Formats: sequence, structure tokens, C-alpha cells
Amino acid sequence: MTAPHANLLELSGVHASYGRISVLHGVDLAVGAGRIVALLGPNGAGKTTTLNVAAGLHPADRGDVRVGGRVVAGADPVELARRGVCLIPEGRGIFPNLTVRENLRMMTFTGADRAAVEEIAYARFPKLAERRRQTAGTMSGGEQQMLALARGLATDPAVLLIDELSMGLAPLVVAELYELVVEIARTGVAVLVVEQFASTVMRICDLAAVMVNGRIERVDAPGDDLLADLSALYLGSAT
Amino acid sequence: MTETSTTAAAPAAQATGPADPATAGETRADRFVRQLAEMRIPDPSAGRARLWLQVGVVLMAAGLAAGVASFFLSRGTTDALAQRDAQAVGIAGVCGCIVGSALYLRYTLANVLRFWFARLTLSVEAGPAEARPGGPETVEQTREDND
Repeated sequence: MTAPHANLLELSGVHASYGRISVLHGVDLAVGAGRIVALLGPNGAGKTTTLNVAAGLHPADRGDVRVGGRVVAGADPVELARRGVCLIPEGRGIFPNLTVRENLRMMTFTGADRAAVEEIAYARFPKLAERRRQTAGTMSGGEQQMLALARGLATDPAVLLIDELSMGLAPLVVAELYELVVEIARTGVAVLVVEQFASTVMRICDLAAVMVNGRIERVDAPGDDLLADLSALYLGSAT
Repeated sequence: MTETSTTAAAPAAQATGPADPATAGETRADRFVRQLAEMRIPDPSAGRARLWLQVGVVLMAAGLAAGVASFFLSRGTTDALAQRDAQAVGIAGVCGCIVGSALYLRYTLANVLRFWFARLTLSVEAGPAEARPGGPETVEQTREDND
């Protein structure tokens, strides 16, 4: 049996680039089952690229990406998603022209039953049940993000990668959504959250990794000194 | 935490059919590790695609060069045998050029289509241009304001 908090996602010495532009310069990061790790840092630090590499959407030039203890270089991202690696991209990644129900049905690609997918989503997000026939693009930002999370949950994730959950949302809605993320993590899901609003995610994460210029500069338990460090980085006065 | 059974585990469990006694007690993390271990991972093929693209370019150039060379080979002699050899070189060059073009087209077209599809998906997700802030109407409005 897998040990509690065994690393379900592990990046070691990962380098990645877009053409000739090198973005990640040896990223080391691990996320255990039931843990929430926040990846923080200023714009252009390589946070989203790290998520894409972890999800198999972007190849690593060097280094190992281990998912479930196995090096997955060259693995089909769809196959990884089917087995439980779920990425909720920046901008939610829902289909705005489809209804809530149709959006959820799209997640049956994992082989899951359509009714079961809807049942899970509506049990966790009752608001979505009320709006099941509504076009996703006409819902509020918070509801769209709920739909994105519901779609993620419907794939029965073991590793959940979330990019900028708070984007364009009111602080109260963000807090509510992060509570849901905590609930999801409690079920044994390894959660890696990329976030620019550090103070929000610091309240719920177990570990925070600070990323600057494609490198993890610091991994620590959330706290005031880490927050102060981050503020200095955001303002460009880091030592 | 991993021992907690979840409702979220239901769909995959249904998809895999009745519980196998050997795997009945496993957690989501255990199942994930097992499924990953069973997953077939092909060799990374990105490098291979690039290689084929390069082969295509080389074949195209070599075919063209062989075609031109065969013309001069044939023209530079009155010996029928040498001219036939030159013909063979020319035909081989044309064939190489065609194969090279096909390879080049295949591996560049795949990239172009991939980006085109990604762009199409993005524009569909962003909704109609009129509905977006800064869409065509706004631009027109700004132009009128400037005038």
C-alpha cells in the first residue's frame, strides 16, 4: 500500500524551453498524496510551464517528471488524464458555448459513466445542478470556476494541478473555492496550485514553493517570513 | 488521508467493472500508482518528427540537385549509355524530390494544423469578437472618437 503522503508527483532537475527560450532551469518539486503545495512567484517565473510539464502537455528538455513513482517522459497527456492527472488551466478551460451538463459530459472520456459524473459534480456543487441547462459562458466567474473544478473532480483525479484559481474572482468566492480544494485534498488527492495571490493560498497550503526565473528558490511551510520574501520578489527588491 | 474513501472514486471504479479481490482494499493513490505502472509509454517521438522533417528537406534539395546534374551529365556526352545513366540519376532525383516534399509537407503541416486548431479553440472559448471588450465594435468606436 502506498504510504500516506507518498509523492504522487515529483519533478527533479526539470529543464524546459519554448524553442530557444529556456524557461525552467532545474525545477525540483514534490507533491504528496493529500497535500496541497502552492507554487508562487511573479509573472514569467515559469509556474504555468511547470504545471504543463507535470501534466505532460509540454516536454521536459532534461530532468525527470515522476507521476505515481514512474518517469512519464513521452507519455500521452490524454492517457495521464485518464489515469488521474487533472489540469485546471488558467482561464478555467470550460466550453463557454456548451451547457453545464454538456461540459460535464465531456469528462466521460475517462470511461466514467455519464450519470456518475453528473452525480459527483452536483453533490459537491449544488449550484451547478440548478444551472445544469445554462450555457457555461453566461454564468458568473465563480460559477465557471466551480464548473472547472467539478469537471476536474469528475475525472477522479489523484493529482490535481490548478492554475490561477482566483483569476478575476471576488475574494469571498476565491476563499469558498479554496475551501473546496482543501476538501478535495483531504480525500487523498495531491494538489499543486499555481497562484499569484500568495496570501490567499498560504492559508490553505501545506507547503509553498517560491519560483523565480525558472528556479525554485525556496520551499517552506507557509508563514509571514515567506510572505515577506514574496512581497520583496514581486516588488523587485529581492536579495 | 489516503485511506479515506471518496465519492469521486466512483466513476473510475465503475469504468473498471466489478472490484477485483486483489485490488479491493486499495486507496486512490494505490490505484493511481498501479495504473501508472501498467501504462504503456511510447518512446519520445518529438525528436523523430524533427528528424523526418530534416530528411525531407535534404531529399528535396538532393533530388533537385540530382535533376539539374543529370541534365548536364546527359548534355556533356554523346555516349548513349552515359546519357541513360544520367536519365536514371534524373529520375531518382525527381523521386527523391517528391518523397522529400511529401515528408516536409507532412511534418510542417502537422505543426501548422496543430497551432491552427489551438487558435481556433481559443477563439471559440473567448466567444464572439463583438462580445469581447476591445472587439471590432470598440475599435470602430475608438476610431470614430479619434476622428
